[in-house]
Formats: sequence, C-alpha cells, structure tokens
Amino acid sequence: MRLLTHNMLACNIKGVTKGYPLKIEATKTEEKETDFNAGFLRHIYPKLDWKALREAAASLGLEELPEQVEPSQLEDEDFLRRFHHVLLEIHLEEGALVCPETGRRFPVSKGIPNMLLNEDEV
Amino acid sequence: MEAGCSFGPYLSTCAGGLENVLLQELASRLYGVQVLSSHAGATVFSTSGRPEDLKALRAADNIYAYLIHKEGVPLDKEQGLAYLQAIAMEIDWGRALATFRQWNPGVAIIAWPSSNSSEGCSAALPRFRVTCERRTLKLPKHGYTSMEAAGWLGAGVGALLGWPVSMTHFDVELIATITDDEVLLSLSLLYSPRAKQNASATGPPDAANEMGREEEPLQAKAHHQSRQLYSHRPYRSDLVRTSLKPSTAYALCQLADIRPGHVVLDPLCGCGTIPLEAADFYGPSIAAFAGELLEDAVAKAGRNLAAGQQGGRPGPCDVIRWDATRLPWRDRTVDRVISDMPFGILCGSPKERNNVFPSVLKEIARVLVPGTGRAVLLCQGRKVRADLKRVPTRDFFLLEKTFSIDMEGILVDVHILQRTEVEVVVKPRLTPNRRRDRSRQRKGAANLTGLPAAFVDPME
Repeated sequence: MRLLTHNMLACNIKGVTKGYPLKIEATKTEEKETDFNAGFLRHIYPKLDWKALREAAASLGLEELPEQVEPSQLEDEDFLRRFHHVLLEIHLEEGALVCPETGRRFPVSKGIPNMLLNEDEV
Repeated sequence: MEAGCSFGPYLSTCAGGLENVLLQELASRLYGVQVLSSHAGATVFSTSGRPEDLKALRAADNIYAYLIHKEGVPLDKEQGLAYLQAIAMEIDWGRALATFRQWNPGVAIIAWPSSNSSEGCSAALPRFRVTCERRTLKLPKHGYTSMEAAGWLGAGVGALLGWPVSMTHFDVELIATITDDEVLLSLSLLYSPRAKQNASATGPPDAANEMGREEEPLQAKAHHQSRQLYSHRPYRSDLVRTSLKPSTAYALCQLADIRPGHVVLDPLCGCGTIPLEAADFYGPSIAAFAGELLEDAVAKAGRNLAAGQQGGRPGPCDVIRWDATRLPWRDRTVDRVISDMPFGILCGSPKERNNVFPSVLKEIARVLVPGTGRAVLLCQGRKVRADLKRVPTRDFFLLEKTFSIDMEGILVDVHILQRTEVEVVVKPRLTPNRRRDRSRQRKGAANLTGLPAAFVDPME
C-alpha cells in the first residue's frame, strides 16, 4: 500500500474519536516506479491531509516534505516529482498501521492492510 | 461500403443494456465505423480499423465475424432444423473468411470452396464445429435441442463448403445464438486452436470459488472465458466465483463519468475487477482503491493487482481488507464509488445481504464528496430498490437513473446515484451491539442505547 492509501485510512473502532492518522510500523517497504502525472497530483492535493503525509514520510525516513505547500509549488515540477515519489512510489509491504488512540495494530501483509475489526470493537 | 478498405461486418457482444457504451467506444476508437444493427447485447458493424484496434476495445465481451441474422425460424422440430440447415446457402462466406484470415493469418483455410478449381483442393480444408446457444423469452419452447440445432446448421455448412467436423480439434468455430424465432450466426475470430493450446499450457485463470462451493463447473466457465476478448486483460489472473466481466466493469466506469484526478473506490471489490479495470484504463490520471471482506477474495485481488502491474502500466491502485458496513476511511474524499454489490444465488443469502445494504449505502454516502460525488451500483432485488428511496438514503443520493442489464440471462439493476449536499452525521457508537438492543426494543424491552428513541437510527 502507498502513503496515499495511508492518508485515507482511519481507525474506526467504536468510541475512538482520534483514530487518525494511523502510525506506521514498517518492517519492509518497497519502491516501485509509477508513471508521473502532474494533473493527478494537483487534483488530489486538496483531498490530502498534508500533515499526516509529511509525518508518514518522516517516520519512514524519506526525504522531507515542506510544512506547507504554496499554490505556486503545485506548478513546480521539481516539487511535484518529490511529492509524487512520496505519495505513490513508496509501498508499505510488511508491517502494521497503529491506531493513535487505542494502540490497536492493523497488520499489513503483502502490501494489503487488514482493517477488519473484532466483534468487541464494532 | 468501399471494397478493400472496410472489413467485417463484425459482431461484438456485451451485456444487454450496455450497448450504448459499446457504440460510444466504437465511434471514438475506430475509423469508418458503420453500425448496421444493435440490440440485446449484439452490435453488428463494419470498420476500416485493423484487428489490433478491435482487440483493444474494452466495452466488448468479444468480437466475431458476422455471418447472418434471420428471423422467423420455425419452432417446430422438423421445419426448424430444415430451416437451419438451409441457412448456410444464404451467407456471404467470402467476406467472412477474408475477415477470418486477416485475424488468423496462421490458419490455412481455402478461399472459396465453391470455385471447384484444382488449386482449391490442394489447400487445407479447415475442421469446424458449431456451438449453439438457445433460449426462448416470449415464444413457446423450441421443438429441438441446442445440440440438434448445432448439428443441422453444421450439416448445411459442411455440405456447402466441404469442411470436415471436429468437436475438439477445430480450426474454425461457428457460434449460433437462437433467441425465440431469431438466429444470429457468427464466426469466432479471436481463438484459433493453436492459441487454445498455448492458453491451457500456461493454465486457465484460476476460477476457484468464493463462498465455499464446489469448483467443477468453473472449469467450463474458465474455458469459456478464456476465449473472450476481455480475458486478455493483464490483471485477470485470479477469479472468484462471481467475478464481473471486465467489459461490464469498463462500462460501469464510463457510466460513472470518471475524470482526471478522481479517487475511485469499490468497497466490495471481490477479486478487484472494477478498480483494476479503472486503473488499467485511466492510468496515472486517477487513483483506484479496492476493498473486500473475504480473505480469499482479498488475496486474489492482491495477485491480480500484481499481475496487472507486471503486464501493463496501470495507475495507482491499492487493495485493503475491510468491512464495507464500517469503512475505515476519511469522510468526503472519494469522487466515484463503483461497485458490483453481491447478488444472485452464488453470493451469500439474500436476507444477509439486504440487512447490510443500508449501512453500506450510508458509508458510501459518508466517504463520497458531497455535491459532486457519484455512485454506480450494480445490484438486484426489490428490497434494494426500496432502500434507495427510503430515508436517509433518499436524502444523501439523487437517483439519476436506473436501468436493467442482462448478465448471462440474469437481469440486474444499474443505479446511478448523485451525492447530494446533505451531510452524513455519524452518531457516536455507544453500545457494542445495537442491533441486538433494537430487536429487544421491538419486543418491548427497555431502550438500552441510552439515547432518546428519536436518536436510534431506523436504517441500520
């Protein structure tokens, strides 16, 4: 799974109010080349939680993203390439996503997060 | 038609009801398209496009060389079979065989056997078979079986062209579809016997079951599907029992009006056909997400994703295991939800499905972007139609269009929903199991939710 997916996922255990963003425990990450598409990045940007993406990138030891994005940066190919790399080319293959409130671990195996809840969590 | 620059006529098939999507694709992708007829999933057209261009069509289940369409086939056994036997005489074989040769240059078949020239005899006569699918919708039953119909059709063709019959090692396959008193005859183009051997060597798609049923009938299904145009999609490696055809998935994506930058989600994706088709077709201009509950299907979706990445250049797509009635997903982030909701006898019990449907709808409403979000749902049943018109779903969605499509003889509804601006309020989940609590309530027990009765969601 990509950091884009991580940016969208939230813990929804019953009673949890601060289930976002999930912390990343990575035992294996992979880099896979994905075609660059500036238009997509500009469109997706407003939907992202930038702070969560920035923290996720930092927790994986990736190149640092700026704290805030100026509109002019979305026209800057250099920046967009870095944004593209972090958002779409880094895959969490093995590890877990951890709920920040309860500490519940959602395992990630073969790049697929298992977000199923137990019966006592719904 | 100008001779030499136009081939066909072709017959292209798709799920009945989705012809418009196919017609649109034909017009936008192929040169010199002339549509001769189109109804009930069968579209006949000619084009100057090359076979490669036709093979790239996504809305078509398959492409055949069109032979003939006749109405008024007698239902009675003797007359009906005699009628079918005589049909071979009326077919323009020259055109059809020219098209066949253009598609299968490796298969030697003689040009026009009736020329009776000595050079005609030296060329190999192709072995052939006839496959017949037959059904009656409005009229009484046919007096003959599909096997008999295929046999007599074949007898006519064999007598005219001098081709020997072989049911297993054939070079040419004729497909006959008899619906009521109409017969549509076409010639398989995509699959030469050589290609078939290759396909079985690499193994047909693993069509294992989804709901713990026995597997044997799927062997036949896999064989049938491997001859279809859509089975050549790179991501089509692992199937579940109720896999959607990629051509239908493509049509649903078109109906959803996907645009660049969109987030596309299928919360009940099975082996991932819809999001994988979207990622394959729209490429890096969109992001697709595939969610599924069942472990087996999730694993298959993961393998299909990997196969798609190996065999093509799809856009970003990820697979997630989840429960669609409780999506672990941020609000207002999705532009298009496209889903083939569970239906039919192969997919759980209707009662179970109907119970979860309202919660799935509510979750879809929550994650869609209000105002601009759209959902295209494939589902079946009166209960589902009623749910769409009930509060609060009625407030969240504008039902733009509902129509039926014919999927291998089963009528299924396509609902196109426009997300309204109405906010989805997620109530705090206070008790572990509200369903049980409410059933107690109905029996007159105390309201255990601790909320005023008005707060208890009547939908869930």
